[in-house]
Amino acid sequence: MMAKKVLIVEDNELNMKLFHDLLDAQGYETLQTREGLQALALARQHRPDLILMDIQLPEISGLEVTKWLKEDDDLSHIPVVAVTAFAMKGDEERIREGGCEAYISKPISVSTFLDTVRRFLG
Amino acid sequence: MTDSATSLPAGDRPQPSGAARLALFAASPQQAWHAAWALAVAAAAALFMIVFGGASGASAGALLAGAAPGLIGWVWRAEGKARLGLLAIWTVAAVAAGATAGGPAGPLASWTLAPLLASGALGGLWAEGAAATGAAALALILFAALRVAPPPVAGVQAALLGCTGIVALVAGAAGLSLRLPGLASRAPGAEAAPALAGFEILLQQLPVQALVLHRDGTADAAFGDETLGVPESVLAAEGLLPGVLPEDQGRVRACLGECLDHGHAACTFRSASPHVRTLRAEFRRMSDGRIAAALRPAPVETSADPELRARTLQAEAERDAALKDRDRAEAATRARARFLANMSHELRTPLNAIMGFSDIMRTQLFGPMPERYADYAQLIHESGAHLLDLVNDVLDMSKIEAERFTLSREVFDLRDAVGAALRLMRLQAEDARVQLRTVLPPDPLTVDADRRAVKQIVLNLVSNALKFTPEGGVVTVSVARSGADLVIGVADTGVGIAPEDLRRLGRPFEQAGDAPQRVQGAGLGLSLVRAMAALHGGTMTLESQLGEGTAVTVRLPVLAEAGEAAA
Repeated sequence: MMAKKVLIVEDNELNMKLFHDLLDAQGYETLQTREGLQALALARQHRPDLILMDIQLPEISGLEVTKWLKEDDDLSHIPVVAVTAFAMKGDEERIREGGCEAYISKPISVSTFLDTVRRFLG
Repeated sequence: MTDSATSLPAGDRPQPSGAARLALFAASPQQAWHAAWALAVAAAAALFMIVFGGASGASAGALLAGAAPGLIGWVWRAEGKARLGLLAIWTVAAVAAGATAGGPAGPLASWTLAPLLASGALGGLWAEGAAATGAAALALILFAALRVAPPPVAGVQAALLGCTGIVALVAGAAGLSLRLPGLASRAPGAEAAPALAGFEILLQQLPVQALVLHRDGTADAAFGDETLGVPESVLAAEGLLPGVLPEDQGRVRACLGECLDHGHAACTFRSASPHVRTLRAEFRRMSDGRIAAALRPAPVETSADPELRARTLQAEAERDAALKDRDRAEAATRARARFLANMSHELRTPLNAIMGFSDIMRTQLFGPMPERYADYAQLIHESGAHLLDLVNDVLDMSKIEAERFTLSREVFDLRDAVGAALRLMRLQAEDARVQLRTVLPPDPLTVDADRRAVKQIVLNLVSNALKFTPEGGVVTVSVARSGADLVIGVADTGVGIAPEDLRRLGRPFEQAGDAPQRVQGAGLGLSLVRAMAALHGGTMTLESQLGEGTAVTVRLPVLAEAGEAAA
């Protein structure tokens, strides 16, 4: 059986490494990008099973990218988990309304992170 | 102006007298007086011709000569220096009439007084009038002496002519002194002249612009301060409407119509010149069917009146300054809140790597490592967690200070929230070897409050108490009803707080004691508790005895069943 693919959209290198190492250790394949636009292209090309989306991206907000993903009939079925360092009240609602299936706040707890990922990848 | 007349209901309006009716046809009171004189004297001449036929030649001629200046003054509205010309005509006519009727001894010699009378009608040229009368009398005497005058009128005709002359003079004088409508403003008695001058000044300096208008907005007259209304040049050329912004002309037109229908109306409009501003217009229907209007700047509008403008400008400047101060303060608060929010985000990003990697290591997720290193990883992770708490506290405090922290009220059993907070603190209490006791009521304690804030209050208070309580001590958390309030109490057997420190506590970044006694923390814990209590309309009080312990009491008016309990 082919390994499940996770697309990580994250602009901080250390966090990218953390997420990659965690997912890699669980046997998932990862695709990585730090740019929203490229995330869309990678999603079309590789059809990942899950997308981890940083909301605070340098060019385009992760919420905007999520909107595009959800408007695309070919991609809208891919679950998007927002990972964000914004923990203001109302952020979670805003992120869920933006089309994200789940929300993990930074700094992550490793167990919560893995539980959430497993929930979508089985 | 004509308020008293125009405000009368139509049925009660007095019928104008003959002179007044005449005045309606004459353009000015002075012309009306002249018209009355001309008509009366010409009528007398006609009577003489009818009664005495051909024998009335001299009498009728004299009367017609006397009527002539009245006719001229009726047609010609003499003003300024021109009035002296009209007075000269009166003098010549008086001499002609007197001489024709028989000179200084003749029946119309009295008409040498006519120029004096006319000078009254011409706006109080009394001195000039007296001179004219004197000149006329001199001329008559001179004519008699030179014997150039025709033979005197004699007999019945002379007597009648004399009477006619006297009656005309008396009636003319009465017309001046009675101040009949229309003559009033030009009927100065010697002592009335200054009052009239005052009236003129008042008219020109009314603190409004007063207009006489027709239904179509054309203007017959304008008085008062034109800078308060529409420029007189505009009014004179085309009337009120061209002075009104096109969008508002319909409203003004409708208002003029309403005034004629109902007797009065008022509206606010924007004037088109000399610059756009808002004017208030009040209209009243006058007895003659025209409209009296008063225009003034609408309130709270910059005005051309210097004093008003100065006042308005000053008020605006003060308001602007106050607004600027407030804006600056708000901008500063917003900037600080934004800075703290951004900083919080920037701090969380590296914290994610610190806590994430240390979490992997302390749980030995990828395989075993020496226990000592695992302990270090645990310490790194805990420090990261503490740093995160501080970041969250700073963020909360900044939101409270920026008044952007809004409570999410919900109804819940307070015991659940307190229980959740205490479970989080249990481990810390065990590590500190401090006993954590709780006193909770056996029945549900339903409150209407922000669950997260209440939990935070308990967490902060217990966390503080554990920090300042030495090994073997006790921290007691109690929750109870007290009247209409919920009371949360956290008491410890710790080091206590000195009275001088007690006052400072609860303010941001203040901690009690000397540097070595201070423990980790930014000193925000109590300020947050106090602020969150205040957001709920509650209070926080601190009691402490140095060396014996501290008790913090938070009272919150949040009991959901308070009404039922009281009932």
